[in-house]
Amino acid sequence: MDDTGFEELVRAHERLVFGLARGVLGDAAEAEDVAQDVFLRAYRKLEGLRDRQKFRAWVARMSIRLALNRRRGIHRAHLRDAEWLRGVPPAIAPASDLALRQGIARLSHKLRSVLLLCAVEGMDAAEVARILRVPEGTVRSRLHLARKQLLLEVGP
Amino acid sequence: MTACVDWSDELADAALGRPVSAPLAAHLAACAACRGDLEELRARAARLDAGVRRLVRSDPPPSLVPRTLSAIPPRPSPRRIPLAWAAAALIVLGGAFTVGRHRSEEARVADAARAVGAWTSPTRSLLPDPNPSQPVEVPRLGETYFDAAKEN
Repeated sequence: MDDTGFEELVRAHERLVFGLARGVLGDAAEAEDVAQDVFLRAYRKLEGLRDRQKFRAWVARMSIRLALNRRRGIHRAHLRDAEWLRGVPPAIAPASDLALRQGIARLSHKLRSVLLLCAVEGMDAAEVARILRVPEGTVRSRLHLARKQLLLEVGP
Repeated sequence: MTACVDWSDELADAALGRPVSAPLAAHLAACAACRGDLEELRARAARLDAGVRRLVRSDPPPSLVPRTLSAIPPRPSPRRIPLAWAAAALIVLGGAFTVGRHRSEEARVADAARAVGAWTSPTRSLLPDPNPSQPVEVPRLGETYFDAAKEN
């Protein structure tokens, strides 16, 4: 595949990759970094990802994984800088969005992955099941648990 | 929520679209507070779903694609070996193999000839020659036995 073909792939999947990273990280700039990293890794593995469905599933999984890694790194950095930042107010964001992002962050990895994949491009349970390599019933069950946890924990 | 705590779990399930069980339906028929909570939970669930979709469906920044494409490392150009060089290398390798094989054949023949020339009978040392009348040649198998039988 030449670079033009790869550009088409990037354009076709940028919303998916960026959306999933944003869902995990909550921050657009961080999500853009992750999205770039995902596509560069995909470029190096293009030979094994020729099938378009395989490519889509691979970048979706990689987006969530790399975003989680980055969030752990950010969390560690925040802990490291906590002393220095003491007293500095948190970034300004609508209270409801902040509460929702915190609620998503509190979900387990398995529940969060299903919730974000189902929301990002209106994927159905069958497609999410293919991407995550779990049975369709597991996807439905995890989606319900994720929504229920948000419903009970995130304020009105 | 002000509704009955015992029903909160089932109310959440019902608000998320799970079928309402018969016991919950009976309770809802009798409890106005829980009916109100169920409506409130349904509205909140809809807001949360919309919030999650809004979060993950936001437009990626326009810089993402150009930034990604500019970061792609250039592909290494495939090195082409001229056909003539490849043919020459093949001829040299083939010649070296043939010569080596021929030389090794000659060496094997020479070794065999040297071995035949150097061979001596293992019984030769058993035949010291104190008396020149004794035969020097190695007797054939059984020859001495039959000679001795004739003399006797």
